[in-house]
Amino acid sequence: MESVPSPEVRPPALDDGEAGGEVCAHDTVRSHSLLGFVFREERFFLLLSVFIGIFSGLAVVCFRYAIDLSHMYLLGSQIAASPARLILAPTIAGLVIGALVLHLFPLARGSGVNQTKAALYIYNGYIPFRTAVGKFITAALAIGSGYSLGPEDPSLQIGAGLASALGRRLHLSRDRMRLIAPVGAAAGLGAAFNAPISAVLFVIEEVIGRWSAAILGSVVLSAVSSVVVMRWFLGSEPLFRIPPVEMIRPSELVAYAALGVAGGFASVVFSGGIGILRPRLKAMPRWTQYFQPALAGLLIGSMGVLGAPQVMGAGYDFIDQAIHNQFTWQMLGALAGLKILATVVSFVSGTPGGMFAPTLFIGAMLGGFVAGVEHLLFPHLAISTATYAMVGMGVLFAGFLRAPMTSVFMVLEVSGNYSIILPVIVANAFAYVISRTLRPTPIFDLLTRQDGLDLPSMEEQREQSILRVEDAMRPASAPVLDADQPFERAVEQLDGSSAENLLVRLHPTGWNTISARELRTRMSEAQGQLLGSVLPLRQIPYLHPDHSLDLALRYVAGWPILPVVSRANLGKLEGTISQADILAKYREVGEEG
Amino acid sequence: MSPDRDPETSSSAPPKPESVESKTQDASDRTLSWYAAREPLVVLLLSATAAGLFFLVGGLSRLYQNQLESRGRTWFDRGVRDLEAGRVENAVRDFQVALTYSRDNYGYQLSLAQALVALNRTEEARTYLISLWQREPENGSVNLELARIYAANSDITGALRYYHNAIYAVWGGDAEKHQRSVRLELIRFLLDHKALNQAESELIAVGRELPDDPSLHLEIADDFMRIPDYDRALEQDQEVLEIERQNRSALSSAGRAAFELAQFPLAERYLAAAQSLNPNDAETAALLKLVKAVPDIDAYEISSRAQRDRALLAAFNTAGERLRACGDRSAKNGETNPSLEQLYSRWMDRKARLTEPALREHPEEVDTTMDLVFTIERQTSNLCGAPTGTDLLLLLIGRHHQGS
Repeated sequence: MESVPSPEVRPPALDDGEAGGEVCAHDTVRSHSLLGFVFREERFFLLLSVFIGIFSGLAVVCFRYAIDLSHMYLLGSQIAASPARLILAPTIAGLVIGALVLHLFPLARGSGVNQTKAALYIYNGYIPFRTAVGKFITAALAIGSGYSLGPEDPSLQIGAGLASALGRRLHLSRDRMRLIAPVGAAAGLGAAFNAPISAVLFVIEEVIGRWSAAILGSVVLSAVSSVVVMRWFLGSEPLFRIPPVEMIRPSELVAYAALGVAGGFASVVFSGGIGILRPRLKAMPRWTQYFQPALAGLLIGSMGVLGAPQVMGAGYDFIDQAIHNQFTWQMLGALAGLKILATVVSFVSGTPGGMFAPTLFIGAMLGGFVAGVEHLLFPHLAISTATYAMVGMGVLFAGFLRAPMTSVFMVLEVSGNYSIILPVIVANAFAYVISRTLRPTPIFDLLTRQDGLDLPSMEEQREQSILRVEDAMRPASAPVLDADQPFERAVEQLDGSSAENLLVRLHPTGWNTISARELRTRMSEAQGQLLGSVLPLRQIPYLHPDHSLDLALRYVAGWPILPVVSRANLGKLEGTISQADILAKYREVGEEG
Repeated sequence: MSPDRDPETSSSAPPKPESVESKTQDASDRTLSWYAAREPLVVLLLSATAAGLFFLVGGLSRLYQNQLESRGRTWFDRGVRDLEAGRVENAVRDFQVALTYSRDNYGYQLSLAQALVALNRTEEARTYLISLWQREPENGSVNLELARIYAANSDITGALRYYHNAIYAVWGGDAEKHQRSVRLELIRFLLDHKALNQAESELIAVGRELPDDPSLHLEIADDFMRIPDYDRALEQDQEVLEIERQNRSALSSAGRAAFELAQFPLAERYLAAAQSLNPNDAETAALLKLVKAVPDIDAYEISSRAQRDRALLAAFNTAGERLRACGDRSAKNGETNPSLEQLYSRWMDRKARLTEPALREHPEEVDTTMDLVFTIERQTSNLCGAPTGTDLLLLLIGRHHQGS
């Protein structure tokens, strides 16, 4: 909220002496017209967000159909598919994808989250429509043919691409164009996840990086409308059928902490695998990129043939089965490990597709595995595989994607059970801390840097310390004058003070300033008058100690000194601040850094 | 920005920031008048586009759903065929595949759960069934399957809950028949778990609403015998005999119930009729033989004094043998039973002075002796299990004369 001017910071009123009547009237007409435009555009943008949500929702529904149909025709049901089909479908699809990505849709590679961020921070919201189309085709082919990738991040990019295209078509202003990609991203993700809150949080947490009232409404509207559209066509059933989740005893939280630790290490292995292999494969000759997806497909198909067809594709059905206790704990452990391998291979080969679904898969399997092991070790604990699988999903989300808020709300939204919140928070915290300690760079930042871009790190932004007015202000040592006092008395107060500028307290509220030189100069003409009547008719802005220095900087220019006042009593001076004070503080912090 | 930027994010399509900036700046300059004039038109156009796309995706959706349904149905039918052929493993896989095409299909999930139960994979089945139950708590089949799982785990509370749910659930087709069948299954479960009072209540409830179906009445009679509630068992057998006078099973069962109730003439009549219909029924023949021996054993029913005394002495000796055998068995197991020892000393004390002349001289000894005989049979029956042959007869006669 720091970027939004606080209502307490009031800009100075226009000085009559500085503006003629004609000019002022003209300005007022222009100002009203501008305000009307801003309001109209604001309203229109909100309405547009709903349309973006609808279009993105429809696109995501078609995307889901495309994935399912390609899966149906390429793999059939992987539970019952023949070995030849399991091997050939992803391998041949990989060759096609390689050619498409290299020649037609180069921007469709990868997950889509970073590309959306790049659109926001580098390209003024520009995402080529061809990229959205390419993402749709290649990701549907990849996921449908069994690559261990998910539809969520591509949906996010498809939504952002559609929104960007619509914004361009409507000639939106540059500011709006920058905001429109995240709005579409939230819509795409919300529809793919069937979870609007998680989508909004993820976009705020990972794409935009700040809570801004200017965009929050649009993001929420688009996410909600896309989810409504998605549910219209695909039904309102949640992503997973959650069996009854038992209430957790506080003592069991220790057992969940163990899951958090396991999830933290799994996240490190997962992101480490991508971090190490991706640049090496990218550095290989260009012709190899035709075959990298096919080789990845061959490897994944082989895993399917060798007894783990569950690792192929997004894997939601198998997450559901894990939640419903349909795998032994040994199988769950094996699936978690193999899925990490399959996803790393799929992703580093440059195949378009997302990492959300595989992350949830690995988390669910790992959760079930830890539940099985803990049940063996501590049979007296009432351990529910379903609960552990759900918590496991959040754990990997927090550890691998480093989106702690989204991870908690995602589990709540998907499970529909509030009683699970404590284990989720405890386990996620462990996973997040371990992952951060062992791999300081979050996965999305790592990918960005590997691509040679310098996008802002959301994690770093979240943790940046904010400099406040209280850090730079000076104590109020100079005398404070009163507008009600006689002019002579004010001049008397100057004696013994070396201050060049003095603050004047107005009545009933407000502040003004006058220089010591001006006070002395006007001594003869102002004899017998009150100080207030001599001062120019204006109020200067005032600040509070908790305001950020960034905000203060906007208002301090033009005034030699500004008052810092108590929030409880606007007449009580806490200190003063000037532009020089703020710059000195920034310089000091910069040198320390 | 580094010169070796990756094609993934930067190689081709996005224009240079400068050009985008200038373009959008121009556009921004146009927007003020542009929006003022065209906003309603834009909204209208967007709405029309959205509506058109909605219909288009709706059509695609129907095609897609039909495709899914058709594939799901194919796999489901295959699963049903596998199940019927006893290939339960294959059926489970088929149902699982069917569910990948139609994840929320209630029937597919239920069939999968039932197949899993058949494979004894009850935990998996339970999770499916619980999920189905949450969707339709009133579904009879789901409640019944859940009851069976809880019953298999000997969880009486859970089983009772779901059996009762199933009894009062919604059933397709002949609901009454389903409900009765569930109640009978519940009764078996209760009987197996020795919850006799609950079982008897359920039996009484189901017995009131039975249609004129001999096999059902016989089933109920059999269950009443297991309680044991011979009066109601006999009533059920008699219901059958009203429908089918020559029903061999009913005659045999009624004979057995009448025998247990010590209604020996009635028992003899039923058993004789059953025997005449099926001379090879050894069990009925043995029981009939026993019943026919009653007039020679029941001292109270013999009018001739001499014969009565002989019968009394024979009963006394039979009871003594039974007491000795039961005592030996207890001793072999290392148990000492004061009540048996006390009975044996009473029996020995009486044996020394119990002769036909003594009985003639002291006819009041008949009652005290028979009391001792009945007490011995009852006690040994409690301690050493149900008697057979003459001992059984004496036990029943005792119950008849003394009241059970």
